[in-house]
Amino acid sequence: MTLRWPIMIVPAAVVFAFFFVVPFAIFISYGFYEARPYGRVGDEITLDNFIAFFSDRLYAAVTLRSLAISLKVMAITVLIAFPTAYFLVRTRSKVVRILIPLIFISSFISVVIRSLGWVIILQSGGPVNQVLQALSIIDAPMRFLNNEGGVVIGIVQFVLPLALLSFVGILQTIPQSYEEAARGLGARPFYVFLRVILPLSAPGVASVAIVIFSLTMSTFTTVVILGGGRVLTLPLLIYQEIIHNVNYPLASAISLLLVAGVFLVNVSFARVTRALTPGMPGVSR
Amino acid sequence: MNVDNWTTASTLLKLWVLFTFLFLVAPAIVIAIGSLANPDVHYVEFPPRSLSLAWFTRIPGEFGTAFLNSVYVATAASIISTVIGVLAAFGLVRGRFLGENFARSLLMSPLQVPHIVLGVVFLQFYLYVGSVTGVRLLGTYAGLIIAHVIFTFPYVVGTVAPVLERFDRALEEAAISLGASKLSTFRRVTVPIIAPGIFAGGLFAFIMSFGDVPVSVFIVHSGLNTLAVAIFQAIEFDYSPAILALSTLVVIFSTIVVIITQKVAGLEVLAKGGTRHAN
Repeated sequence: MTLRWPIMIVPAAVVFAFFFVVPFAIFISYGFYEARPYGRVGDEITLDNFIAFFSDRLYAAVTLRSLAISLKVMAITVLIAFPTAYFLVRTRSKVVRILIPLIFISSFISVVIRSLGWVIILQSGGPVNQVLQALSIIDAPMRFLNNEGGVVIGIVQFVLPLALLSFVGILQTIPQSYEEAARGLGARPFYVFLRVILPLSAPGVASVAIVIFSLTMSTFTTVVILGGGRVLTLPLLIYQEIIHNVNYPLASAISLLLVAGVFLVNVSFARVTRALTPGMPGVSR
Repeated sequence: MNVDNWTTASTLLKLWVLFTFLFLVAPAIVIAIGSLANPDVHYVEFPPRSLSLAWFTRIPGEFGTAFLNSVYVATAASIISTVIGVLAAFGLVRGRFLGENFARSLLMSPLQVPHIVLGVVFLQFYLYVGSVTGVRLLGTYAGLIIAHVIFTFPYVVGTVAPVLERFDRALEEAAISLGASKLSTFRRVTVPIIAPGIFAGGLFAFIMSFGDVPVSVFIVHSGLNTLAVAIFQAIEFDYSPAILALSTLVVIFSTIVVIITQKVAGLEVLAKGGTRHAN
């Protein structure tokens, strides 16, 4: 009986071997060859592509921009999603029955369409600028598009459903009785938040934050549409090297660095979390 | 904390929640309203000066073809993904074998790879295959479907495996002890219980495939385009209210899909798989 179940993996394993492992291996190897004009690839193994990436100031700037955007999206998303998730978990009103499906509907709409919506909202003649001008907060239309600001807004909206649902899951594990006990002992609501809710939810929130960071580092479509080609992040760089420069080796090298970098961040983070999480009494770590 | 009363703190919280949900639905609503624009205004203005359904009739025909292509590819990819995904989930959850962890990591690894990188990987692979064996995969349905199977597969496993793990084997044991055969037990006890999870996984795969741009953009061809890529290209080259009309239709389509899932499987199953997708 136990011998039969493992066989069920075979179809997936075969598909993966041919159409994932092999392509990936070929792809990784391209990064180690020299790029020749017109999309041809050289014959010798070289680290030139990687060296070129690390020594070029442009690429450093692009990497920093990717990191900056990812950190901003991470911070803003957590800030917006956490209190909202708390409300969704603690409320007894029926409004939750509409709100949760709304989160799903929003996430199932293709990213292209969502970005398009933001283009209309954020454009010079669009509603945001109209309202800001009507309220005399600004005199001339503010540029939200074709710069980092619009991109950050677009990506935040994109990852928000994931953050909301994850935080709801995390907060659901904190019994309300803990909060009530703290209140009963005289703590004010903010203090309860700081010393009860925050510490209990922190590990989960932090790992969701890292997921948001990783997703943002990989974002392509939103950056193109809302950045208008003026905001260059690593995924766009990869795209350009393929489509405009037909430089497969360099594109491979950058892709490899991106994947490895994000992977390293995830792994280090997991290590740090594990080291910082206090062990349970009686259980050795 | 009691969030349903009207103290300062809870009122502020409710405002925060309101803002969050407005932020969440704003793009879709704006597109819907913008699509009702005046037929004589050929640029996108918001709010539209007058309302009309004219632009819905002006959607270029190639989007219809692209839509059908997307449906075909997404259906094929999600069916294949679901079949091998459910099998793999059974193998991973119920099997014990050497290299189990490695297999699990490998099969879930496409989640770690940015879709843009996956797109490049498949582009290079298909070019390589084309030059070595003469088999053309770029610009073909097969090429798209294969790539889509690879990146949707982890979502199927990620949705079905937890359902399997939560499944109480005692139910199966009870059926067998009452005299049912293994096959009959599987068919009449196991499958009905995990069916919602399987459906959700397949749905997930469909949605991800349907909306994908970064992978498909490298594989499509002027004769074979997907809807998401077509809209993406139109935003850059052919931006007009017709695109908004098209997008509104897609939004309606997605909403219907979610409602169907709610009825058939309940939304909690989707929450396990997460709303994490690549963009």
